[in-house]
Amino acid sequence: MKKGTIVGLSVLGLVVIIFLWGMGQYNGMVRAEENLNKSWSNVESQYQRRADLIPNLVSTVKGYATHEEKTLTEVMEARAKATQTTIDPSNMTDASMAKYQAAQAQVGSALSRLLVTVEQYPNLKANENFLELQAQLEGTENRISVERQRFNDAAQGFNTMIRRFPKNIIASMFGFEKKAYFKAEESAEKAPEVKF
Amino acid sequence: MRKPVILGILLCFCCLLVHAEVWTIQSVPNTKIQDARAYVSNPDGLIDAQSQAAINSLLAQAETDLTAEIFVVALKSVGDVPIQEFAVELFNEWGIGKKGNDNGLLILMVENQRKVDFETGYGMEGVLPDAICKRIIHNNITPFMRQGKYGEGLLSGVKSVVSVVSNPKAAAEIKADMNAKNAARNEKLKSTLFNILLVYLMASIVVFVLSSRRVGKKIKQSNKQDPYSIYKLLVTSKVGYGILAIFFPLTMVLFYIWYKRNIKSYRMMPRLCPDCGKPVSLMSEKLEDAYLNSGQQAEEIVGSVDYDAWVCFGCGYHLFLPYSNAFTRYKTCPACGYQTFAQTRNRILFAPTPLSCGEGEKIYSCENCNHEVHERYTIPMIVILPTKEGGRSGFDSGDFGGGSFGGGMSGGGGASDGW
Repeated sequence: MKKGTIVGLSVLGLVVIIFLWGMGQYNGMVRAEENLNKSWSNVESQYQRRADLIPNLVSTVKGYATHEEKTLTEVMEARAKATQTTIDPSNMTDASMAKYQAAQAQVGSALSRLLVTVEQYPNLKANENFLELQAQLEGTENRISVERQRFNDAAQGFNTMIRRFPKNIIASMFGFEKKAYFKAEESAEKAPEVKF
Repeated sequence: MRKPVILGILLCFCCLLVHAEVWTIQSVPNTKIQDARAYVSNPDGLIDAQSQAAINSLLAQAETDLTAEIFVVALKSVGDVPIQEFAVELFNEWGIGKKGNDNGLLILMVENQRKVDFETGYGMEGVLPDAICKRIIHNNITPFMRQGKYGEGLLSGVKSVVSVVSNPKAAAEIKADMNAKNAARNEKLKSTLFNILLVYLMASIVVFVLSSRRVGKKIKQSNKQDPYSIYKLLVTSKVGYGILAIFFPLTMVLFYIWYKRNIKSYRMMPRLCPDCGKPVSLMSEKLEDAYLNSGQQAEEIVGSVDYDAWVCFGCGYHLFLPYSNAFTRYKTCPACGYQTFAQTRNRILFAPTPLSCGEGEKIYSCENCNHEVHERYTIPMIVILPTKEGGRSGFDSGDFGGGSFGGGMSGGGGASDGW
């Protein structure tokens, strides 16, 4: 073989190797991002689950607690606002995340205020329907915190991945961006106390 | 030197003793690892033996019938960790429930928090929604707990759980996912296998091309022009069929066919007369007999050597090219020198007995000159082997081995209630 051919072949081989490596890295990132999107939709669906429980809860409470009109409206308003606030997972910034989190925290605190006022209505507390809703609400809060934790873990893994050398080169080439986390917030972190 | 070591060990023991009161995710004993049929982790002895045995048998039945993994843990304390959080973490650490199906349920009781928690796997949430879990805890467990009958309370809870999940509809739901998952996995496996097959086929083609190019290279390197020499070279050279047959049988077959045709084309290649330069012609099998002597004809008849006769009609030049058959049993005759010598008979002169050797005779003869060779050989004595007798020993396995959970996940479903 001629010298030129050898050099040409090695360059070609190197290019092929680099291409294959880059492909593997890129595919890995796509997979991680899809994973993250999935855990985000899990978070959203748990918040949605809570939002779906609220109208039922409100109508049940209404029948017994006639003087809590204000608290009930607050809950409904917070819910309406929260369902409007959504995030596009492909464009997740710290600001939009904070907005989303604040809207959901609003629902959480309105709910816990409502459940505190319910204390004064023993008939309501004995209502089978209410007890079930309460159990579901508790379970949902628990699920929300589990899914949030999982999302944060996935986001952290993804962020570490795209910022580490040499993956960061590929990441910046294809526009993979750092994802936002859920911040531990005083009001939002604690699940509303629904104990009696 | 000795004392500090002993002191250290003692200190560790003290720590363990103190620590044992507050359980962590890592320290809670996973009894299922030691015994696949143990569904209760009861390190503080809060559950009485009778209830524990009853729970175990109920839950073993549930796993056999429904593939559902239900596990009971009773602890004195988990520190400040909320019971739900502890339960979710323990659930996912152990992976209760079958993987993909997530049909696990963890029933956790923490005495000093005075709480019982049900943690359902993703696949259990439909059958055991939070409200049902809460109702079971409230109605069937906490009344016993208030009286300090922990074992009975948990047993009664397990009974109601089993009755809920054994309902045919619920049972179908718990198991249904498993089938769907298996189907999906099979589908995936199929596509993977298909890809592997595709890659393998492509590799086979590449190997074929490479091997055939190697043959061409060999011909070039040998610097032989004459078709007969090339033919000889190809017949005698090693091509590595063995390796090909092991790794690429398909390539081997293709290559074999190609190689045979290649060889034949060299045999049939038109030639020119070296004397007058005109093309020579190949005689047919009938016509060529005129040019062959009796020995060569005998070789052709027994099929050991095939002769090609090329004749130039212009100047009378003729060329004989012998092509020996690689698979013939005929050898070269020591008398006439033609390849027509083979064994024709084999007879036994004296049969062997257990006491004496026998003798036999092989007779080789030549088809051409009738030369015969007798070769005597001894036949070994008959050996009588003692027949073996005796019993066979087999393995005997006694108890159940250890097991593990199936790797299920919980998303935090379930409910808890206090007493």
